[in-house]
Amino acid sequence: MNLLRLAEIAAWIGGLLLFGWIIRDAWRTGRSYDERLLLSSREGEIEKDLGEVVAGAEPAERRADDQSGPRPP
Amino acid sequence: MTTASPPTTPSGQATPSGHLSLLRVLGPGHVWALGVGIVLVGEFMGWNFSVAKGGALGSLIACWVIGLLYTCVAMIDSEVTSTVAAAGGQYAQAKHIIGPLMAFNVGLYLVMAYTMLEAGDALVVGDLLKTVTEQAGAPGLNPRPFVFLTIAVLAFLNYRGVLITLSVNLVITAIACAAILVMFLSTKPWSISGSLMHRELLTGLPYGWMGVIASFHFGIWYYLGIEGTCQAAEEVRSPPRSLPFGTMAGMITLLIAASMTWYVCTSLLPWEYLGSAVVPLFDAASVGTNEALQIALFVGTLCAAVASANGCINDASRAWFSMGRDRYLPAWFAAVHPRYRTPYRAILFLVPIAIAFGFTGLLDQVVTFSILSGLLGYTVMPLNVVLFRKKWPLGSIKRGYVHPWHPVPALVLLTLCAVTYFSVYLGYGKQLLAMLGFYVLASLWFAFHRYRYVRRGAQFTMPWPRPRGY
Repeated sequence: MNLLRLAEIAAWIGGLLLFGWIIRDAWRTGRSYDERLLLSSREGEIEKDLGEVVAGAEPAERRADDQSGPRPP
Repeated sequence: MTTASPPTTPSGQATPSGHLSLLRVLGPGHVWALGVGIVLVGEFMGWNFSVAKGGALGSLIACWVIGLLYTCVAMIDSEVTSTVAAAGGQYAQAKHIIGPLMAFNVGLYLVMAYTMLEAGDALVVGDLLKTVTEQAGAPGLNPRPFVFLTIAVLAFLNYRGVLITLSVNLVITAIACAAILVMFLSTKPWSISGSLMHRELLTGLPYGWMGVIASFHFGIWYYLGIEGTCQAAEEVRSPPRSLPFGTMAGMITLLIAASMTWYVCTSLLPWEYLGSAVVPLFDAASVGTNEALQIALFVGTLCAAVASANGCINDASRAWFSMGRDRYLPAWFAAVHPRYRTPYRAILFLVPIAIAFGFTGLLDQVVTFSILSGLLGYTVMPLNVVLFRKKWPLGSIKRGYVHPWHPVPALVLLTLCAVTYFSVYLGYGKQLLAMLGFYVLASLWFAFHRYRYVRRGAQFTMPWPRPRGY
């Protein structure tokens, strides 16, 4: 077995180990934490100063086709 | 067993807000590294196919005309993203400004463009190693294990945190930039007695102006992916400042790097050879006998390909994560890792897809699909920015950046996109039609099936006033 074959095998093993670690950690994280917590990220909570409304303007409101109730807390 | 553990910071401490979000840790340098890192591989290879279509001068015209297209993209993106600062970038913009169906399509364009480009980059790494081992007298290297290893290492990095991911990108992108600069300086462009042979090698337009238009397709390689800076919107410390600065600085870097690359390569290699070269910069470095320069270009090419794949994993996963968060896709993809604060399921899910495309070995097809998806995304931008300015005129909301001469950039962008579609159609008509067919089918699936699950009440998240005419 020459050096190239060894490098190829090492690459396969290295890749599998890393990918395996990711899968294992993702599985363990899913088991260890409440799913609601993992999915609790919310868009638009960046910075209030970002979309700072100019004086006199109304705050953002839902669109007319809003049918799914209030946002989750 | 499922337990309700508190969310934690990377150091293990509980977050004060009680819910998980992506970490806001990036600065303008990281944004620059994300944008330039994704693109720079295009200076090392790919752009030169435009030389085969339009000759050396045609390629320069493509470089600057497509540069104008991307400058419009960068300006428009900078304005809208400095305001719609959310992960998903253009997807979040389209969601707020146009509507759900367009947002779904834009999200899909982004994911496809970046995942395909990631596969292409990994292919390049594998092919480069194969080429180098052959030159070293050891032929027969199988590139697939290295394609797999590249994607696995970068996925691992992305999984572990955005700060380390983009800090690594900053370093390797700087190395790749330095390689181009070293190559340029090594030809002594200031010296009449240097090695440059423009007078002999620039031979006009071999296929006329139609060849120049055909070269636009590959001119996209010079800049493809710079718009990816927007995907970091939810993770930068100061979006209104960092995003426009990082994006515009990236665009300037690319315009300079693209011009230098063209200048050096077309003065050292005849256009007939350059148009079909796999690694043109490396080949240009091999013209002389400077071994150190060849090594520098090999390292630069490798760094550029790795930086591009790294940025693509980051961007594709943010777009996928965002779509999951809004239920455009199953909510399962919207999970944030409680320790690393990354969209870990989105990262994990896209890895096998990238590997599968990488294993095909079809670099030109993979990258063409990426280009087409990107082009579709750029075509939406003029509509996006015109509606944005109409619904929320200047002064109604705070903008981190206001692009000048509106609507001229939008009109220029739309016109150049139309010309570029024609250019792509000339060379890859079947792929263009197949890609359009795919997006039509995906749109039908979304409209008639998936839309019922979308969280319509949570779509509009920016603290803006009502749009004009609401």
